Parts: sequence; C-alpha cells; structure tokens
Amino acid sequence: MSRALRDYTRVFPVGSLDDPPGKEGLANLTAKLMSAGATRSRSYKEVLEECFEMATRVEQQTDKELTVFWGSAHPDHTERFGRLFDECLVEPAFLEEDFRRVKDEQLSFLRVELRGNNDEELAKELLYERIFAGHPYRHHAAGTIRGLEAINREDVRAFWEAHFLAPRAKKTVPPPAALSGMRAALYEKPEARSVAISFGHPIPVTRGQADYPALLVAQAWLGQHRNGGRLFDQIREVRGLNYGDYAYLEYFPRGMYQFEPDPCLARQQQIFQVWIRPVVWEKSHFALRLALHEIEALRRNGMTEEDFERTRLFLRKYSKLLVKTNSLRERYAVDSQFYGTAEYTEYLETGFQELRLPDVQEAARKYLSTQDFQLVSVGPRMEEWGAVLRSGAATPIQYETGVPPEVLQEDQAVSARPWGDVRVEVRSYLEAFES
Amino acid sequence: MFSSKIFPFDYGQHDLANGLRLLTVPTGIPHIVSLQIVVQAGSRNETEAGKSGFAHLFEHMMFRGTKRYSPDMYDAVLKNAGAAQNAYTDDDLTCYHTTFTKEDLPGVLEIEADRFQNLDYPEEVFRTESRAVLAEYNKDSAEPFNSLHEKLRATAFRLHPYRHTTMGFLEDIERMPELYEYSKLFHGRYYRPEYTTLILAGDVDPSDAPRMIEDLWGDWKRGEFVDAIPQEPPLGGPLETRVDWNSPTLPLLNIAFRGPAYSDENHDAAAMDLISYLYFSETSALYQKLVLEDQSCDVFAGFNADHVDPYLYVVTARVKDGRTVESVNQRVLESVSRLREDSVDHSKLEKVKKHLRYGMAMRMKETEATASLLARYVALRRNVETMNRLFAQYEALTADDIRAVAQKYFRDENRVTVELRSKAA
Repeated sequence: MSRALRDYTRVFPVGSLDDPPGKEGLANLTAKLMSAGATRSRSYKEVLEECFEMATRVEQQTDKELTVFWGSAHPDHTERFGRLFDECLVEPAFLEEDFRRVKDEQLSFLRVELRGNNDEELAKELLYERIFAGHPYRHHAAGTIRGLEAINREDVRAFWEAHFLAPRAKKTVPPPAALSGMRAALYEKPEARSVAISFGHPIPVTRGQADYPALLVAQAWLGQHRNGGRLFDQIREVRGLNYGDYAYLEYFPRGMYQFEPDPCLARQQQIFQVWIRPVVWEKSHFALRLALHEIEALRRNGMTEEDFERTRLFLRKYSKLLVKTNSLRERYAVDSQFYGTAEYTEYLETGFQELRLPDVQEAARKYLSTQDFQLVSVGPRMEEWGAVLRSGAATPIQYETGVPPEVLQEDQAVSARPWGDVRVEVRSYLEAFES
Repeated sequence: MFSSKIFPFDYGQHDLANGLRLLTVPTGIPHIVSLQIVVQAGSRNETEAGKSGFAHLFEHMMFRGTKRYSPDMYDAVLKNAGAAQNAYTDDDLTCYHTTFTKEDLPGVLEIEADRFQNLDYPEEVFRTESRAVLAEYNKDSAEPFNSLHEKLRATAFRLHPYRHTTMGFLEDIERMPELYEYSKLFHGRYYRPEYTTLILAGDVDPSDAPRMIEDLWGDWKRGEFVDAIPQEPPLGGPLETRVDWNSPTLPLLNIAFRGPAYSDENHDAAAMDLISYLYFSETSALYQKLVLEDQSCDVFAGFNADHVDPYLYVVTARVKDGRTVESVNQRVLESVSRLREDSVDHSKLEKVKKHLRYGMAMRMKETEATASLLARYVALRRNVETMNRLFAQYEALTADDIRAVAQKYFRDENRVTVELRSKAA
C-alpha cells in the first residue's frame, strides 16, 4: 500500500453572507487571494513553484456561510506543505498584481463561464437568486459584476482582518419568503440549441432535522444525482427527451462535472430543486409537465415497499463511499458540526433505522409542492415559451421514435396538466449576475 | 522516497483463454472495491464515413438490459449495492466503472458479465437512446471550448478518426436513429473479450478473483474483427482557421503541433510530457509572463494527451482582450522557437521529474482513483507495467533528448492554429 497522505483542513464561518452591500463577492475574492496569491515571505510565483515540487496545492471554497481551505501532502512533504498552508492563511500579502488577476478571474467566472458557457448551471444558480431575492443569500457566492468591480485591494485586507483573523460566531439566517403559484423567470438566449430548466422551492428541512431522512429517501427515489431515479427513467430512458433529470435537497453546484457532492456547502436554508437537463424547445414544456406529474404522483401514491427498502439501502451504502478519503471525512465533519449531527454515515444510519414507508410519503406531501414554486428556464424564444405557460394550453408531444401505447396514453394526461397560477417574467440572460 | 516502480501495488494479471484480461489490484484500503471494465474501442475505431459517435452511443446502449436482467433489474442490483456507477468514452477507450463495498462483488460481477455477453436491445429503444445522445450534444453546445476542439480536430486530421470528437459529428448524431443494424455490427466487432480488460481494485483477493471471472466470463466468445485504423499523412502546415462564436465570450486560441503516439518503448511521448511541464505549466516562464505578469490570459495551459496513434500537442489560451490575441500567439511561437534550441537546466529537469512522481503517488490515494488512473494506461497498452516503463523513460531523459524530440515535433509544418472569437465582439 502507498503511504498515507497527510491532510489539512481549516474552516471559517465566513461566506457571501458577510459581503458588504455593494461589494458582493468580497468574501470569496479574499479567500481566493489567500489560496492563490503571494504571502508575506513568498511571491505567488514562489508559491506555485513550491506547490509544483510537492505536486499539490491549497484548495479553497467559499459558499454562503462557510469558507474552507484544504490540501493534502505526501509524507515526504508534511512539514513543508504545513508551513505553506499556514502562511497562506495567516500571512497573505494581498499584492496589487495578484488582486487584479484574481478579480479578473472572478469576473470571467461570472460573465463567461457561468453566464455565457453553461446554460444548465446558469439556470440552477438563477433559481437560487430568484428564490432568495431580498434575502441574505441573494447573490452568488462569487458575487456580482458590479460588486466585484467596486472592490479595491484595501477592502480585501480590511475584510480579511475583520473576518479571518478574529473568531466569529455563526449568524442566524431566516427562511426566504414563501412562494405562491408558479413563478417563471425566463432568460432569453437566442443562440441556445435547447432549453435548460430548473425549478424548486424553499424547504424548512435541513440535515439534522427530524424529517430529513424521510425526505432524503423521497429525493433519492425521484432523482439521485447521476445515479438514475424516477425522473431520469421517465424523461430520459422511456422518452429520450434529454440527458438526465435529478432532484436535490441541498445545494449541489458543478453537477455536470462531478458525480459526488462537495462537502462544506452547509446552509441553514435549503431548497428542493429539480434539474431538467436541456430539452429541445418543442418538447420542453412537456418535460416540465412530466417532472411535475411525477412529483405529484409521489405525493399522492407514495412508493412501493420494495422501492423504499432499496432506496434506503442504497443511501446507507452509498453514503459510505462519499467519505472515502481522510480529507473528505474531515470536510464532512465540518458539515456535521454545522448541522449538529453525528458523523455523516452514522447520522444517516440512525435516522434510517426508525424510518418507515409512510414517513416518506408523508414528508413528500408535507414539503414538496407542485403548485408553489420558482421556475427558471434559459433558452431561445422565451416570450413564446412564456406565452405557452400563460395560455395553459396542452403541449402534446411528437416522438420521432416509437414509444409504447401505455406511455402515449399517460402522455395525453401529462400534456394537458394545468400549471395553476402562473406569473411569467422574461429577461435577457446577459443581465444575469450584473448586480 | 520512492520504490523503483511508480505503481506501488502488488497486482495480479490473469488471461482467459477467450482473450479477456483480468488485472487485480489489492490497494490495502478496506471495504471498497472498484471495478473498471475497459473496452479498447473509442472514437478512434469509428472508421466509416457517416458513422462517427458509435463508440459513445454504446456507452449509453450498454445500460439497456439483457433478456435476463432488464434495465430495472440491473439498476435494482446496483441500488442494493449502494454502488456509484457510470461510464465514459474517449478517443481510445470506453470505460464502465462501478465502486461499491466488497460484500456486493459477486452480484456486481454477475450483472456486468451478463450485460457484456448478452446485451439485447430492440430498435425502438435504440432510437430513443440515440435521441438522448443528441440531447447530450445539445447540452454541451453552449461551451465554446467544445467548438474550438471540434474545429481543431477537423483541421488537424483528414483521414484518421481523431478528426472528430468522441461525441461525433453533429450530422452523424442526427442520423443515428436510422442505423440500428449498423449498431449491432459495431457492437459485434468490439464488445469482445480480446478487446476488454477488467480491473478489479481495492479490498480484493488476487488468488480468488480469477476463478470468479473464469466462471462468469469464461464462455464469452472471442471475435474475429481486427481493426484497421487509417494512417494520417503529414499535415503540410502551418494551417490556420477560425471559429465564429454566436455569444459574447473571450477569445480562445489553440496552437497545436502533430505529436507522437504514446509509447513506453521509445522516449518521444515521455519527452513531450516533460516539455509540457517545462515550457507550458504554471511554473513555466511563458505562463508566468502571460498569466501572472502582463495578465493577458486568464487560462493558459499546454497538454500532451496520451493516445494510441499520433495525436496533437495542444496549447490553449483564453485571452482577456481581443486586441492582444496576436501578441499571445507570437509569444507562444517565440517560446516554441526557444524550446527547439534550449538546453534545459539540470535542476529544472529534476524538479519536473519529481513533480511527475509525486503527482502520481498523490493521485493513487484511494481505490477508485487508482483504478481510474490505471484504466487510462490499459487503454493504451493493456497492462500495468506500461506505467512503470513510462516513468523509467522519464528518469532516463536528458536535456539533449528533450531538445531532439522538440526539434522533431515542434515544427511549423506540424502546426495548426485555431482562434475562436465572438461575433458580438
């Protein structure tokens, strides 16, 4: 066996919640400069050279409430890397050239990568922005373009001194405003080849609360990230409408690039979210209706005992794979502390022991809504797309492929499913993250 | 510091009479097992006109069931195992990977043996799945790097299937639903034991594994197909081309050179790896100039991706201001001119060699990562020793060797440049 690596993890209760108004992005920019900038005794070039020789680096992640730094070192480098890790955290230099570079990177991340090049992630992040409008979570952890542009180097130094040097208490975060009806925010992107869709609503359940295990089983049965589920089966496998469809109880960014969630994205307020991967325009309303239909069916009919047992067993075993390295165990421990739970796999094990099938349907009924939710779509011809929603008209589907008669019969009901109370707003995707 | 071999595990290799190969890698990490099934068929094997994308299509079709295990039954076994499962396709391989706890090994091996030997899908299912592939292309289409990459390949290759991406040409993907019979032909050629290697890593018993595999996979019938991949003629460069992008974005630049095929027998590919770290990595003078000092680029990297057949050395830059694209291009070309004449400083060379060895050790920190890494080398040489031989090549390389390899490949006639710019700019 190869010799074990040494892992380093340091967490701060600092996040975009702490961004001053008008300087959105300051927490993340400060933390980025700590991990990717000069220290008082080394230029950033020297930091890079040091990391290169050890084949490692100081990693960083800033979310709404937490900032975490971590890294691993080969046994030959434990002292050397430990020194560098500490230097980055306690002796950052915040040089002008590093500040310009990292700020530009953050602006590019928002303008080019998130807004321009990834319609799916854009729809997911805008869903959060819409649900948390007017709330302390209102902006992306990377900030806004206007906020980043207003930040100067002195802001960074002052933020570091105020937030990363002194011990800080966790702030209490209130729930967002309740939603009423279907609120559709449609972002026009004329050149897109298909429509990216995300929808969801706030839930009062987070890890550690009594109904979390039941809701987790409901979510995993509906759509376990990149591991199938009812939505995936019905939308992709049976009908070939898109590449995948999943449900979430916790924030899960970058899902198109990774199979497993990142730890240290703990939040006091979470949403239930469905990710419908891009669908061609003509079939996209139907795909949305089908997803809502499936959630409604879970609320109404629950799942079979066999599905319940299987999903629970899956989660029990799968959760153990999520903590496969010491570094991951350390970062999962951060989340356990945040939520006040036992170690993650033990917490689930205990929660699942008491769980019964009716608890899952009860949780789905209580917490999942197909009437009151926020929808975000990114794609072409959004005025027309919104008009279809407003009209309430049926959106029958035409397949180029053969589909069994029982599916076609189900489609008839799905395609005419009422939307309920609908409010539509259409904007250009180029407005995203501006302010 | 290190043992003489880069691959630190005592592994087992067992060849079945039908041509299937089993590599067993006990990693010493308890409970977890990772099974990686490598089929040496990727987009490289799509040699017929109008039929690109079929290797990737099978990555999808393989989840469509057999007479014995429907997709639902197959999924039930995986769910009961709490398994993390997926698959990917690349130029030289398709890899099916599943990670789970060791008590579920017999059940997982059984369903995998069944689907590899008995895949059975009707035409309607094939048509439906080919539409999911088109949706996959559509979802990727917002990313300009994908478009740049498509154009680079189509310009750099005329005959070799590396001329298209793993997804395939869009027009071929659109036609896929009509090619059910061809799909069975493609499958019958490559989904055979002689093209397949099983990697079983983690908490596994190397003395027990061959018997389990013989029992479940021993009857799989060997095929007869021998692939004939077209050889690519010289490029006749330098070639330059451009992509017009419909959305606002930053300009992108690929400057690529025809490079060597992967080899552990001669040192050309190993030398290209060292060149990559010396001249284009984060510690290179060029990166420091373009990203840290004048800050004209926010993305800059050079990469030598190992391939079975000769591929490309690719430098990628994202330029912050359209007015400086030409000067970034010139800087890269100046650096290339220098590296052809350079005599690398010994201590720099040693730092890169150390980086590669430590990097490898850091990557093999857990079972699934070790198995995934090995899968890439299995696609190239179908054994573990190629990793050790490659690292022996790195160790032996001198400054003179590196200069000679640089002069062989970094030539103007081997160069392709692709620039992507937003029409809105």
